[in-house]
Amino acid sequence: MNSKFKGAAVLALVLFAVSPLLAHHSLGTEFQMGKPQAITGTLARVDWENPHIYWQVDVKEANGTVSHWNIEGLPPSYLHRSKVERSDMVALIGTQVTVHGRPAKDGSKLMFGLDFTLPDGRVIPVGPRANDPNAQ
Amino acid sequence: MKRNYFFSALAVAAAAFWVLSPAPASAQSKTSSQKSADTKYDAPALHKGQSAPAPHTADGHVDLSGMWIEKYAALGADTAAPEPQTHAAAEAAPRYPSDALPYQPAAAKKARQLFDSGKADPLLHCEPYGVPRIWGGPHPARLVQLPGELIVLYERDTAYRIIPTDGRPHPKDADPSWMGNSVGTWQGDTLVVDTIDLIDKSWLGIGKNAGEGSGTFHSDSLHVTEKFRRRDRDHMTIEITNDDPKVFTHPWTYTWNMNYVPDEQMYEDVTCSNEQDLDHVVPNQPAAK
Repeated sequence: MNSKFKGAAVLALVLFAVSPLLAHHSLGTEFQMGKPQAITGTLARVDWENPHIYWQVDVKEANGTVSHWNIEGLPPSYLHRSKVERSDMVALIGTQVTVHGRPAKDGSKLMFGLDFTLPDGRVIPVGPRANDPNAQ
Repeated sequence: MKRNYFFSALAVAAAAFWVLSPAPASAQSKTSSQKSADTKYDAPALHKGQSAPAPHTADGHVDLSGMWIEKYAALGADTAAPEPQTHAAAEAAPRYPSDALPYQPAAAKKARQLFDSGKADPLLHCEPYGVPRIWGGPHPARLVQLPGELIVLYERDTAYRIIPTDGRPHPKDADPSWMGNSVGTWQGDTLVVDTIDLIDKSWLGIGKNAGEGSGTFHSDSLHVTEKFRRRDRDHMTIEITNDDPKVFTHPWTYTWNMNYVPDEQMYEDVTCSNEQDLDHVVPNQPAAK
């Protein structure tokens, strides 16, 4: 192994080994979990379903076209237990939101959502918390 | 060479995560509001330390009945960064989750290949969790202890088991199934549940991560022993031993620490009503040798 990669590779192993139980399958096979990403657009749809909640966010591109982004989330039960409810999310349809998350590995307009940041600064967490001791 | 490519890809991903996680300016400016959001959205607290004695049923056994959860999933905003890990812990971390299990050499190779494919997990194909993978994680299970049987209702996968505890043996020719055939016996205050006739399509799960995508296959000879021990009102351990002489060199054991959550409720949890992940899975490169 190239020595300059060694330290980071060790960290990668740790990250990999302690990745929390996030969902019904391994997220690392689908998303670049080490690459933060943010998109801003209008929340257009909420599919509050198992095994993953999906949100559609419409993002206006520089050329004036609109891209439809799919945001994948945790199962509804996880969010219920942290007091994030379907009605909270549905009420945001039509609102401009910034979503922080992790991009799909296949390059599609899909990301794993970690939080929704609203125009007034409120942050609604929807993804797993880093450092969650219960997840290690 | 191929292995170097794999490590390099991981390294890049890790470096990006560790360096960039706290970095987005738009997110960093919201640190204070984010902290309040994290508190507001905290999951319910679990009881720590010793609690009241475990209750007993009329027939004198410890009563396992109640709603139990291993942990809650804590939600958090994106800017929370992981704590630095120790070098020793890093070196102890297995590259493949299945490497932590005592697979025989050929089986270890197969488990790695399943992991690398990214698409082999039965859950991605709308198949059940099965025993023992059904346990653990942020989905509660409701235990109902009756004279002569234990009923387990799982939120995960909307599944259930009915386990006789009346001394009957396993049937002689039970069909292979995802939950297998279980019988329980009391050994003091411990209920020991013995499960065989498990179908060889399920994955085992591994320790704290329940085998998410880990390739932890088994054979049709899998024999699972679950030891339920409610040590006080709020805490129960489930010690699980997997014995499969066709793929493992010896039996191996892990323990779930369950917490009593009487106010918790069940939500529907189905695996594949809206499954959209399989088409986006990108296999690891290269496949394991």
